[in-house]
Amino acid sequence: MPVGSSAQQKYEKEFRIDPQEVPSSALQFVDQLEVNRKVRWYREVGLERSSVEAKTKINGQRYSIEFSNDGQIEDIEIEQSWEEIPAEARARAIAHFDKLYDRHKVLRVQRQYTGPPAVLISCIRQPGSCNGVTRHFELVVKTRTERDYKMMEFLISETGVILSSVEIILRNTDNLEF
Amino acid sequence: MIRSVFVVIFLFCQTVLHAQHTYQFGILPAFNVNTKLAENWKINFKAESRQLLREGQFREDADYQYRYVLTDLALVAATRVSVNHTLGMGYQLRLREGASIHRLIQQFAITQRFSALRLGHRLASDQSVQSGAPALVRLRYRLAAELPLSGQAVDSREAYIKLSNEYLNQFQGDDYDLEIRVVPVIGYVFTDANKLEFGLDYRVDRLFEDARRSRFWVAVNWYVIL
Repeated sequence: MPVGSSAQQKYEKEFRIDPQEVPSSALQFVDQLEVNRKVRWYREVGLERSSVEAKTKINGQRYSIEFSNDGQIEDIEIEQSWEEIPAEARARAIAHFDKLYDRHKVLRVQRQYTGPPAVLISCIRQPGSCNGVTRHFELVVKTRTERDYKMMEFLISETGVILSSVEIILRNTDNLEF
Repeated sequence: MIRSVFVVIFLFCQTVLHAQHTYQFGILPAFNVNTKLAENWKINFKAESRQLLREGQFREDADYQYRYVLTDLALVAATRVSVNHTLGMGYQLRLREGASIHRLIQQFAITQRFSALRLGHRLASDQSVQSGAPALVRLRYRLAAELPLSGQAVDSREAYIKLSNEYLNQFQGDDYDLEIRVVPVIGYVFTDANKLEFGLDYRVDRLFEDARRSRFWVAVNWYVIL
C-alpha cells in the first residue's frame, strides 16, 4: 500500500480538444449515456501516461469520464460530498489519515465507477442497476505533518480501505500571492 | 467579486461626472522573481516602476507629457503555514525624486482551487516612513480570480485571464483614505516558471475629498521563478 512519504506524485495537464479528435468508441460511449448537457473533451497528460476525458453534468452532478487514448473506457467519476460516503468508510479512512498526519482535511470527493462498458452505461442511466460495477472513492486531502504540507489524492474502497495514494504537485501561485 | 466590480464601475462613473476629478495615465511595468529558500520558505523580489504619460482633469484637454514617477524595490519572505496558506514579511524601498520611502510589509495569502478557477486572497498591512511626513499605515485586502482560457487549469503555453479587486485603507496622522483597485489582465504561461501578464491597473482614491483621483496604469507583470 503505497501511502505516506513514499507516495507517487501526480501532475496533470489538460488541453481542450474537439470532438473530432476523440476516438469514435469514446464518443459512442458518451452518446449512450444520453447526456442533455454540453460535453467538453480534454486530453489529460500526466507524468507517465495520457488519456482522453469527457466532462459534463448529469442531473446536476459533475461527471468526468476517462478513456484510454484508443477510446476504451477507464472509469467514471462523479463529484459528491464527503457526507455521502458510507459512515464506515469515512471512519476507516479518517482513522488512517490520523495515523499518517497531524492535520488533514478532505477537500474533494468523487465516486469512481469501473467495470464493463455496458454495465457502466446501465448504472449511469438507471442508478439502481449497478450490479457488476466496482465502486471506489477518490479523495483529495490537504495534509500536514510537523513541517510538511502536501495535497494528496487517495483511492479508497467502499469500506474505506486505502487502495492507493499519490501526492498532487501544485502549480505555483506567485501571481496570486504577490 | 462581481458585486465589488460593479461598485467600482459605479464609483468610476460617479467620479468622472464629479467636478474636479483628476486622472493620471501611464505605464506600470513590474518584474517579479521568486525563489525557494528552504523547505516551505520562498522569497519574492519585485521591481516596479511608474511612468506617467498624461494627467489632468476629466472633461478638460491635457497634453501627453512623459514623466518618470517612482520605482519600488520590494523583498518579501514567505513561509507556508498550510498547503495553500502563506505568511509573509518584507521590506520595500520606494525611490522617487528627492525622497526615499521605507515600508515594512506583512501579508497572509490563501489560494483556493475550484474546478476551473483559482482564487487568491491576500490580507496585508504595511507601514511607511518618510522624512518630514507622518507615518503611513495601510490595511489592505485583495481578491484575485484566475481563469484558464483553455482546459481546467492554467498550464504551460496557455493563456488565462485574471481579475483582481483590492481595497486599501490608509491612515496617516489624522487622515483616512480608501483606495480601490480593479486590475483585469490577460496572462500567458511560457513555462510554469515564467509567465507574463498585460492589462489595466485602475485605482481610484481620495474618495472622501472633493477632488477624487483616478489612475489608469497599463500593467505589464513578468513573473519568473529561479
